[in-house]
Amino acid sequence: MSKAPDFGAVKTSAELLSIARAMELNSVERYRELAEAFEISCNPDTAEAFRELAEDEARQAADFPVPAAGLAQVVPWFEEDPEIADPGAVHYLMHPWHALDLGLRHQERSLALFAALAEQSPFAEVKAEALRLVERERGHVAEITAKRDRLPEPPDDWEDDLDPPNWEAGD
Amino acid sequence: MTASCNSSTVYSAKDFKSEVKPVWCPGCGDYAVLSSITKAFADLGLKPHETSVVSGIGCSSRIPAYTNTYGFHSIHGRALAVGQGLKLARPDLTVLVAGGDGDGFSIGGNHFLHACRRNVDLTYIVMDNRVYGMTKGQPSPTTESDWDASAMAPPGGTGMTPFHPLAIALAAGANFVARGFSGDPNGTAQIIAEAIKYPGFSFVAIMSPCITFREEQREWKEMVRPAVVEATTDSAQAARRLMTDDGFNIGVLYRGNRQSYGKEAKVTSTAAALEAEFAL
Amino acid sequence: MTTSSGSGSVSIALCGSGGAGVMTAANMFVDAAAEAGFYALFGRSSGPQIRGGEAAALLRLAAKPITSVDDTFDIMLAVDWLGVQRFAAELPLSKSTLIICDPAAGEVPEVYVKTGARIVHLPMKDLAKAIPGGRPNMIALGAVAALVGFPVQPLTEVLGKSLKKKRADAYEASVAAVKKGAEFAASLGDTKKLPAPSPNPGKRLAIAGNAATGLGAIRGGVKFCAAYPITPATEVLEYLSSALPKVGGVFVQAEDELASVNMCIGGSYGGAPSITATAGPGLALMIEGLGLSVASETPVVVVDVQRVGPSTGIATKCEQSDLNIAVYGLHGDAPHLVVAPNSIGDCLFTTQWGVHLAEVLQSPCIVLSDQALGQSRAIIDAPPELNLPGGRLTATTPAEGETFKRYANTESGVSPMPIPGVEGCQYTADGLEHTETGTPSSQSSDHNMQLDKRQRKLTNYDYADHWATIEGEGDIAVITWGSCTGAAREAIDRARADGVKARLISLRLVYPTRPQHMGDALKGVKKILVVEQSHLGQFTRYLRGEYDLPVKPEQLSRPGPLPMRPGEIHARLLSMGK
Repeated sequence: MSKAPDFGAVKTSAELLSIARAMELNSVERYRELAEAFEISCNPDTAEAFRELAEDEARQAADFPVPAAGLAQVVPWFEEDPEIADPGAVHYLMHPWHALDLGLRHQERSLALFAALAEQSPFAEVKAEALRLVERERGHVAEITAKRDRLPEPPDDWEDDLDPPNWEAGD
Repeated sequence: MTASCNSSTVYSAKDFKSEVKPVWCPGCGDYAVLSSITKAFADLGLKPHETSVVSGIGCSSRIPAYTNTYGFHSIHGRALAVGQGLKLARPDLTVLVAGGDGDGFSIGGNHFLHACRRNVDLTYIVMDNRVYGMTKGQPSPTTESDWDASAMAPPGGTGMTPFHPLAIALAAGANFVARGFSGDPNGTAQIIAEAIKYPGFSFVAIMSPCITFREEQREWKEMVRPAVVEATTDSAQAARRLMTDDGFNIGVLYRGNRQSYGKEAKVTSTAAALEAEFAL
Repeated sequence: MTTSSGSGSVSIALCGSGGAGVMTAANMFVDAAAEAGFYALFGRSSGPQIRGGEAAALLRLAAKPITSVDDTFDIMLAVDWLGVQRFAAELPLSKSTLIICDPAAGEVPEVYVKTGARIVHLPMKDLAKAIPGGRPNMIALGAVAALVGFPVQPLTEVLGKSLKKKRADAYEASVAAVKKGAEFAASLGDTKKLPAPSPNPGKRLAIAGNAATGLGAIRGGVKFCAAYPITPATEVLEYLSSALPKVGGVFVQAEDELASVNMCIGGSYGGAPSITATAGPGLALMIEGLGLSVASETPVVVVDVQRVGPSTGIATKCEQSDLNIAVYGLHGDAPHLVVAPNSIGDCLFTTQWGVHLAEVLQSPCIVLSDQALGQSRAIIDAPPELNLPGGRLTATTPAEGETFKRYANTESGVSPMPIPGVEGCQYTADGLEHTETGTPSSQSSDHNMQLDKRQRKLTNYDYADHWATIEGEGDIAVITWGSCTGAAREAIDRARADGVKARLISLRLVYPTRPQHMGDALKGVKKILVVEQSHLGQFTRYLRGEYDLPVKPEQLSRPGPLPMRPGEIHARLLSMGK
């Protein structure tokens, strides 16, 4: 589901940076949450991959200045936060490769978003800042692609479940 | 859960999450609902110690332990009873009752009807995945009548008409009726925040996919859409919309204007004076 | 059967079909007797009809406090005989009984004739007709009062209070009818007379057990009640629905008993001492909620006004057959409190105490009242105002860096319970087994620790002398509970007059058990008689299972709906004392 983005909602460079930072921090939280979920599900390798993604995002967030006016909560010109992982995109048996692939898709979506803003924003200041962000995201995309490609690709039958669902703590 | 902060503290969504890690499946929609709830709490400027999350039994009913508010993980089907009792005894607290479709509409169905009627000022969130997840995949009251993909469902499905939570809530007198989707955490957070602020009984049905027993629900993401119409205050119009809708319109659908249940407590007597009424 | 009917009291049954006004007449008589300084016990019996069914008002008046029905009735007055033969088993008559009936009402039913009671005629309808606006029930009231030697003056005062303001003509007519009935009584011969009332009775209350229960709840500090109507507990709710808001509390009529108990648990979690009232069928529905109260250590009080079971049973009659479900009905190892009032007045104290215990021990408490206590109205000495100090152990914000442990494994077993709103004490109450902080756990060590803690807090608590009512000395002990206590007490008094000494042990704390105290109470006892109103002998089985009794007890148990009467216990005591 999506609404038409409102590219005029961000009016200044500072606002955009604040939003970019909030996006990174949201991702940190989301990746940590996934790491914990995979730990609980006894898939430590994928948990570790999500934890690394969370750390990467935390480093990226630190690149941005802490805004004086507090943290932006949502991305106002788009319905969804592009760096929040799709809850439906994970599976408890998924491999670290999948985790990075998911991370990559999100980076690509951010990139596309900033690129669109750079093109459509009515404000010159915002356009310029969005272009800088596009460059930055390109770097992140390259990095994460390389990381993913260093990992072995999962076998075709990775999703095969040898056990039925079971709840240790069924209520 | 450590002591912190003075009364002017502003709490973030993260402050509303506890250190207990969810046992939900990775990819479960309930993670996002948890985030939406905590975000709504933070957006409203609530305080964890003045907020309460009450639930029954089921996967989604595990939610109170994952929040840093006062919580009650009660028994199957009785969340609304516990939640209403708490709110009536403590009108100063923000009470949010949460659970699943089996808990709320099957074993707890009677309480759902009467909670709508009673209109106590609380918010009821149902994470609806149309299946009993915790007991491994039986059909629930909201399951499609022909669903038989689980070994736990009769071949050809139950043949029973799915329960229509929103229409029933409306008919029973709920004061605020909305539908959310876990795949839209920000939108859902906004709906929850509005539901909490709205007086009376607010019902928010959140489509929250069960990726383990209802894999096909991953497709919901492509099917949901924001409701194109504004919420109505006319219950007849709301009923028509609900009964003609395909179940995938997201947003606030009805805002009523009923008075919340309960009167302000006013002390007019004492135990001794009451006893004196029986004295000869 | 040897019976020696209670001396110093008069028992009267006023019967008639609904609408004949026997209940109104009986209520006025009790009110007038109360004003005159008497004590009274007033029960009622009626058919299942909502309106117009046969009804009997069962009165016992005395100069001293009474807590039991008598063996037989001294007077039975029937305004008419419509359906009244149904009450035969509930209306034991003897040769010394006086049956007063209207000749216009037809033949006296055979079941009453064969008791050998003396039958006299009081033409209530005709006498009433002679007075404009006169009513047969007022003729009856005047006649019965005069027969037992009760003066007309207090009766007319009561009539004045209830009628004068509203309808002066009705008042005049009623006074005339009462006087007419009293005059006519002179021609009916002699019968048992009331003794002179106590000249200086102490502070007395006119109250029914169910209202006393409600008042006890308020004395105990209850601030929340959610309940669903059920006979014979309805009057508890009736009382609380109007009284609770006056003390700043909340009353809710819930959609069912499942909602009732769980709303109470929610209210209690919020800090409001909470109570609900029900009968057996409702208690069965509440049991799962009580387990939640045990596991989450959230106090809640459930009053069960016992009636005849199983299932719907006989909803309007008494039986002590919910003992098993109250004590053993919860699944899992679920220690909890069960207390039982043993008189109408004690409904007040025991409910207050039950609320206190639930709060102090963070446990569910079942108050096992019964229909005979709950639905009988009585004139009693006011129960003492007992101050039960202490209440819920609450929690305050922990020091910086310290983790709050809701289920801390304390020495007493009671852990501080925060009231929501206290910063830094947020916890999730849970029916799942949990750690000290409340986090769900399936570890055996956590389960054992929490089981021990929940057991310890109840068994180690000092219940003081309240655990039982103990009266008298003797090498026979009568162990009983609930409404059977009154009959046992009266039987023991009579036996003493016959030279047989027995002591009374009426258990107020049914669970947890008090082995040490029971051992002390039974010191030197050679024989034990257990008196209870249950077909299975639930109380006897409970005593034998839970206590090391010094001798095998004799058992006097039978089911409802008929009340236990002093005579049968007295007879048993005499044979045991031989």
